[in-house]
Amino acid sequence: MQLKLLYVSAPSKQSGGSLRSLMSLKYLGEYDIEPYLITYKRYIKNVREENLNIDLVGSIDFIQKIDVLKYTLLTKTSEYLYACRKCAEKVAREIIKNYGKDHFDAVYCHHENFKLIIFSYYLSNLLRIPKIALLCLPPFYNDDRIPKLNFYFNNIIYSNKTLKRISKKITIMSLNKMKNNIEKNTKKV
Amino acid sequence: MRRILKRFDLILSVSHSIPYEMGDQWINTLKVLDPNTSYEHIKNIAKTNISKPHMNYDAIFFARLIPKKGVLDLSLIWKKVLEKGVNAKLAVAGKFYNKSVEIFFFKLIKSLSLTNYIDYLGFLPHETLSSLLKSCKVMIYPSYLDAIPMAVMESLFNNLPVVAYNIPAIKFNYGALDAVIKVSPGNINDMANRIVELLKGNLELDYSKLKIFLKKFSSWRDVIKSEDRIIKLFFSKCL
Repeated sequence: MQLKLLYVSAPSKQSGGSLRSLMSLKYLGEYDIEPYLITYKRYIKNVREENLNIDLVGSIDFIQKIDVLKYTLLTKTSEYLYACRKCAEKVAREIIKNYGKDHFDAVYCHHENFKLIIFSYYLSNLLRIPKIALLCLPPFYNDDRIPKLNFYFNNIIYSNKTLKRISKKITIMSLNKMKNNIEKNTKKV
Repeated sequence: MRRILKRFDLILSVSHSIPYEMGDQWINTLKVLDPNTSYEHIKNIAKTNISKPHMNYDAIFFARLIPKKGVLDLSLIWKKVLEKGVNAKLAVAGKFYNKSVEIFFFKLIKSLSLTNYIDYLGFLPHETLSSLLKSCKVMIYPSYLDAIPMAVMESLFNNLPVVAYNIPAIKFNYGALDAVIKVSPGNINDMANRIVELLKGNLELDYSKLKIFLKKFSSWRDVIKSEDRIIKLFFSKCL
């Protein structure tokens, strides 16, 4: 049985998770899995350099435009989700036009990254196929380590008093509202 | 994110530390790859790349240069190492992702008078990194967050002992290895002590386990095979 997977990833040699994606794209074909890549435009050259003959199905650069929004700006989370949904709709339209609706068996998100997970979720819902994710890092922690670490590091990095104050405010806000806001926004979607 | 992930049909993870850090309810949901990483990409370089220039550093740190990987702990650790009477040099390789972090890193080096003892080499390709690893005596890895650090695996492949914070990623993946020396997270004093012991040759490590351990991670094909196995099993249950 040959599986056709819509492979959402950012393959490169620059970090552990991206290298894993590149290797996965390289060898999955040997196991009767045909990956069809959905990535950022700047990552395409990494795939070409490895001489991998993989179809590029769609680009997710549309999500990149909202990269300026950080996790800590939680009031913007709904905008974030909206951009991912719009991008998924765009890619889904291209897929249906070029391959038809039943061509693929699943969407496979190869990173734990928030926007790629959300994008893959929407895309699989639009195409009505299963969704698979591979986590290279925990996407969240069962404790408040991340806000605490952010606070600690921001506090020592920023010498400017105003920046320190902003960093402190953001951290306190993220500690208090992180859970509530994400769940509220997810519910809305 | 939790709600969205719960709606995924299959979730794979590259390390047992991931479900552990996400919370108890995820332990049975996530399928962990086994083997979960490989050093194959540097194995071939090691065979071909013999005539690289020799660089003299006692220790090395390489990773994404972000505070969570411990880049800001480095200068403090190295200051402690030098205070213990060891005249050693540290190489830092990787890419900064934030200008403020970069500025602070160099400011810290300057204010601690470490300019002659810490060299920033920028992002290095695997070829250069491999030859550099061979010339060092220890790899420092003060990372606070990780899953299965590739940098540790690459260092172990080059028989380079690693001193790291005992975070779940290290505990779960390299817990049984003597060549990975664990200290409690954030304890720069203990880390400096261990580095000094290694540099002075006072610490004897058992490398016999390392050879057996490395055998498992020799091929990316095996890693992808385990990925494939889990995906195929999922589809066979679906159909």
